[in-house]
Amino acid sequence: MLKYIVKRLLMLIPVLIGVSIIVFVLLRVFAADPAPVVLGEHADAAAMQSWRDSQGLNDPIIEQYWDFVTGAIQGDFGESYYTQTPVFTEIMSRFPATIELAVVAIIIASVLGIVIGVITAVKKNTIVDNLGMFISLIGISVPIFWLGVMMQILFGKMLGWLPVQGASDADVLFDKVTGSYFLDSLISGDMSNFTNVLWHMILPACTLAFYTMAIVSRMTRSSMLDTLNQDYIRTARAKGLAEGRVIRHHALRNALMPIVTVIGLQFGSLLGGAVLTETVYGWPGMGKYLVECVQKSDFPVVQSAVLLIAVIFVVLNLLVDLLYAFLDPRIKYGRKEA
Amino acid sequence: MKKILCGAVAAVMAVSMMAGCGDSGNSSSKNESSSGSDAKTTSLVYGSGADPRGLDTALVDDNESAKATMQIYECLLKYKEDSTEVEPCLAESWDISEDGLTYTFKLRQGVKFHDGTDFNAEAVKFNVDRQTVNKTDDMPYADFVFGTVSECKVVDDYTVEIVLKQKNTAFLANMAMCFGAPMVSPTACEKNGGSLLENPVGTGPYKFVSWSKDDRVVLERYDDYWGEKGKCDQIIIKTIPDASAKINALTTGEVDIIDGIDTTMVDQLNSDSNISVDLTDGMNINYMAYNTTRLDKETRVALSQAVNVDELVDSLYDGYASKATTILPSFLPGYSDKVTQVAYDPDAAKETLAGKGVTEVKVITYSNDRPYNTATGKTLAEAIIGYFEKVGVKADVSTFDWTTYKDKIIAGDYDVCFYGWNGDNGDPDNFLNLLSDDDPSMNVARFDDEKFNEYITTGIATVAGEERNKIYAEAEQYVADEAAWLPISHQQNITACRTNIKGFKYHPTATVYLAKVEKN
Repeated sequence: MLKYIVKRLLMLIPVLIGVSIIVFVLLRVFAADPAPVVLGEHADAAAMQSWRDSQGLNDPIIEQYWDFVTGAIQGDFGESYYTQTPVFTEIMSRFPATIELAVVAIIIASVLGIVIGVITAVKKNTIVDNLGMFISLIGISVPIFWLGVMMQILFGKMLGWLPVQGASDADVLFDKVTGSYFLDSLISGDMSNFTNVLWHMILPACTLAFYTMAIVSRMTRSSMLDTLNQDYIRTARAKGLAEGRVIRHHALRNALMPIVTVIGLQFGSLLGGAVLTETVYGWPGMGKYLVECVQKSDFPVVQSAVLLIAVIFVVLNLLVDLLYAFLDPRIKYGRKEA
Repeated sequence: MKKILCGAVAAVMAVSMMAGCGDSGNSSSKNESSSGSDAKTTSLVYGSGADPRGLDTALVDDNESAKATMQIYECLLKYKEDSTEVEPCLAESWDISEDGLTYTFKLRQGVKFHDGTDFNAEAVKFNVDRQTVNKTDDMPYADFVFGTVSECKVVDDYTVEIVLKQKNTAFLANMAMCFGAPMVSPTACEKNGGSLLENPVGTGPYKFVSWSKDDRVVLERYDDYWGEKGKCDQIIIKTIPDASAKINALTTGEVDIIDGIDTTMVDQLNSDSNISVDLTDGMNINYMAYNTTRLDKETRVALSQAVNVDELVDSLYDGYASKATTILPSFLPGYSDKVTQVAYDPDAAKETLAGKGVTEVKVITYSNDRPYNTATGKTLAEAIIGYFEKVGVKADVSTFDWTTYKDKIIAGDYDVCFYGWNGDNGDPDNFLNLLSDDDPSMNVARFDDEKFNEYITTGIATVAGEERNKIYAEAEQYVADEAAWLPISHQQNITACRTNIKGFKYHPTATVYLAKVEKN
């Protein structure tokens, strides 16, 4: 098992090299010149040239790449062109907010998605099945920014139940220690801060969860239907096992593998930043920031953030693979088959 | 599995309970919400469309940053509330030498930076030197604001002399600008390695508390402020990038003021009795330019005669832009309502163009919207082409994204193009010198006229006042007669606030000064 994990982690190296080369070249070939964005419209050509020199942008691209890689290996990802703040600081001041939103959203999506998927599979071709699949069809079809604005209007404006902007009320202040609003509000020692953050999390997390929930529920339904037709389910029933136990222990557990894969991939994409949800709810996360940096040709931030997202995907895939072994005892990593 | 889940839930609950048992008055918690605290802190929340680039006015050039920095910092001079005329601020008075090259500022005494250090002549010298002799590449407005400065001298503790290389009347307007001109604390600047991007220290009515990236900037009233103290205890600049979400946040009361409102949203806001919408003239100009190296004056005049600007502005901008009768917006010094542009006369245009054999023009435009043209360059061009066709001129139109468009402008292969300008300092030279600039990306009409250039040279060297205003009015009329541009519109700024907010004004320079704003 350990050998397998080390092997998979080593595979991260070529992935990162590949991703970094692609993003590095794409940025320099297709992105707009960052000099006018950084120096403003009053800057003359000489000032822009001098700035490009100072940033090494006039060096051969291989030299620029080498500088980036050697810096990154030493933990120095450079400074944002636009804000002149270390890239690491910029990313880390937003990444915890993305993580907490993604975690809450994936929990909501997984729980609801699996429940709906199981129920619709068990109640196949009934009104319950149709209703469940109708909900999931809406989840897949509705644009997330539209859903977000509609939820704001319904729950924020019309019913007045929930806040519609940000991670906490504008005048609720607590020290940023970890960067996570949940944790920092707890650390502040004032439960009203925590409940305020929790309250603000509901709408963005539910909006973000809706699409993933729809995918998970469809995948669960289809996987469960496959499993429920297996002989061992018939055997279990024939042995007189309670239907609930058959579904939970025999059908669902065996149906979980593709579901876990989907959840893992969805979680990865949520951790990369949920651009639309973050934009609509003013959630101070990574996704929105990354898009802004692409628009501003802020090369150091974009290339570092893309590398981070690549690492997240590889590690999550590894975790999903390891979960397989937990879910299906027949799978053993790192041993030769007999 | 169940055991793991139960354990996790128990752990979360335990942490929550421990946190809940903590002292709510813990120093780490600064929660003084107006809704939940006895202290009745009034927090003014301003919804801004983007996160600030940084909080050091020498190193940024975006209006989102200025919304925070102009509460923290002050300049030697400041703009009057409704215009771009300047009045004393950190400088109580100023003298200009006979030759117009030496500006002597008498500074206000007893002013302290938020870090407790004195504001004095040495501080002014530090700020001027920082963007002149010690200038670095990353100071976007250093050359614009201080480009004509040759030296800054300390005369005594509260008198400073700034010597210019050449006459520049706009220098006074520059001294009130939100970029470059604000005075930062030299001590804080040196302590932070020459950058106050995240640790701003000024002399303004509010001092910096915290900045949570992509979330909010928090400021609190500076109780030792030399002037009238800020009305609200706190100002919070909240980042809300989505236009619809910004409206929702205002209607639910999560923010008190928003700006940059899309014209399509105004009716919705007007229907809400808790919200008041305000329209103010913007310091900008949206225009069509002729390539004067390719089209002669007669053709330019005829093409201008073909366009019904009144009808165009009414139909494209829904009443949220005013027709431009001059290049200068009406609140700028030098504006004259006596300037006349080429009048709409399609019959005369048709006759002239037919006589000259002009049947086709090459038009380039931009695809996106701009702050001075919310209808997009593409829509504006399509409307203009309609007018051209009515007088028998076919247009060969090419539309480009903004970045490519600027390259096409520099290349110069066009007869007609669309452009605009957002003013920087409220001085008439800042608008009219575009037509005398050597840089084709600024002077898109490629207008090169000796007489006009003389107006500009004289105007910048003439002391502010009636005589100077007359020069710019004459220059405006001259360029209108030459038909280098067809001025189209001045886009208005749309802001909205909740009705419990009093005293909010959006300044024509697109800056906000929030110290006098009250929240009831």
